[in-house]
Amino acid sequence: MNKCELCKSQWGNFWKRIEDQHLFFCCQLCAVQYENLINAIQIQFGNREISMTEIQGTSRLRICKVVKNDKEYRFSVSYSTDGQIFRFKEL
Amino acid sequence: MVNCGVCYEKLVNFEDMVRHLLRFSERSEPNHIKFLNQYISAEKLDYNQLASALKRFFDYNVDGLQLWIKKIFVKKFYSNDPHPFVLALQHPSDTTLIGYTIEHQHFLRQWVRSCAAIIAKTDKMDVTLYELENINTEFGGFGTELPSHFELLIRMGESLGISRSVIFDIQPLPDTARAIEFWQEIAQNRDWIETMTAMHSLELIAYRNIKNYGASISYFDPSILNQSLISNDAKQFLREGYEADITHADEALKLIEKYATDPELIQRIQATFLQSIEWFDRYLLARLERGKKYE
Repeated sequence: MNKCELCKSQWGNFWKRIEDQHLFFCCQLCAVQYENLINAIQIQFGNREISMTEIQGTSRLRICKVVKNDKEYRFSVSYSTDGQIFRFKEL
Repeated sequence: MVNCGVCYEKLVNFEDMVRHLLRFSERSEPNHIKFLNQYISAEKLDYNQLASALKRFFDYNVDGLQLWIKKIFVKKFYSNDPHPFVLALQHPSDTTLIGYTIEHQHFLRQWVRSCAAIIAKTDKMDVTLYELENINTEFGGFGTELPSHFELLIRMGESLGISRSVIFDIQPLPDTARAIEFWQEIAQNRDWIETMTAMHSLELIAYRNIKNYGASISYFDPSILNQSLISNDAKQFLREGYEADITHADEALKLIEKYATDPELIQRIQATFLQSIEWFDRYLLARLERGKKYE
């Protein structure tokens, strides 16, 4: 069963190509949030040697962990209702 | 008949609601999927499982309608994932309070219209008296000694450096405007008791006893009323809501439970409530969005 790349929901049937990967989402809102999240991570941490280890939270506030150069970074991302990032905050 | 808790579409029964939700899930419609994720299950259920889950979700017989409403409200706005506005209000910055002032004035103007619509449509004297008191507390005031919440809100804004005329001139943000449109549509077109539920359930956001229902925090940290973090006018505004909304919410929910006797009406009330809190969620985010413009 497919799970939404962002929220892990099994409902919906929305597919989007992001960074050469064909990803499953429950809806377009999650896809928009996810894409904005990836872009924000690239701006904040740079493009190279980043791996996303965890996304938790809800559509209002995502708590994420990324690893860069063996160092773990935690941050929160809050969204406006249209999926744009409202605030990006390192924790 | 039952109504969808997302789009209010009239459906024959809960089995029809299952087909309705599955159709919207296949279309990846965000609002219906959010309903499923939020209230039913993030795991995809088959037809029979979803039908059972929906019936369980809407079943108010164990808790009663009041408690059903309170539990869902707490789950949505408090629990382990409090609403970002509530988090910001724990120890609010000036910009958070400015955002609150500017957007909430529009909410309160609509509030009065909604309460008036309830009075216009109901024949219950206790409901009328309740709404009259609520209108005066929130908007009219009781002379110079007891200013309304609206007046206290504006004074809070003035204490933060925004003049009254500027506050009144600022148009609502899109999500506030859309939420207000929704509440006005409810007030005009739905049963008075649905309007009453849609509006007065929202007073649970400032309900002083919210922690008794599983909330991890309250609307704000009450200690800020005794500190110098915020202005006296801000304290006065928050304090008045803190004092009034406990009775406002409880009294309204008691009246709703008293007069909601027909099962079909109760399910419509539930559907309207679910829609209302979705718009309230967006409206609270609009308060934050407004505040951010002043950072």
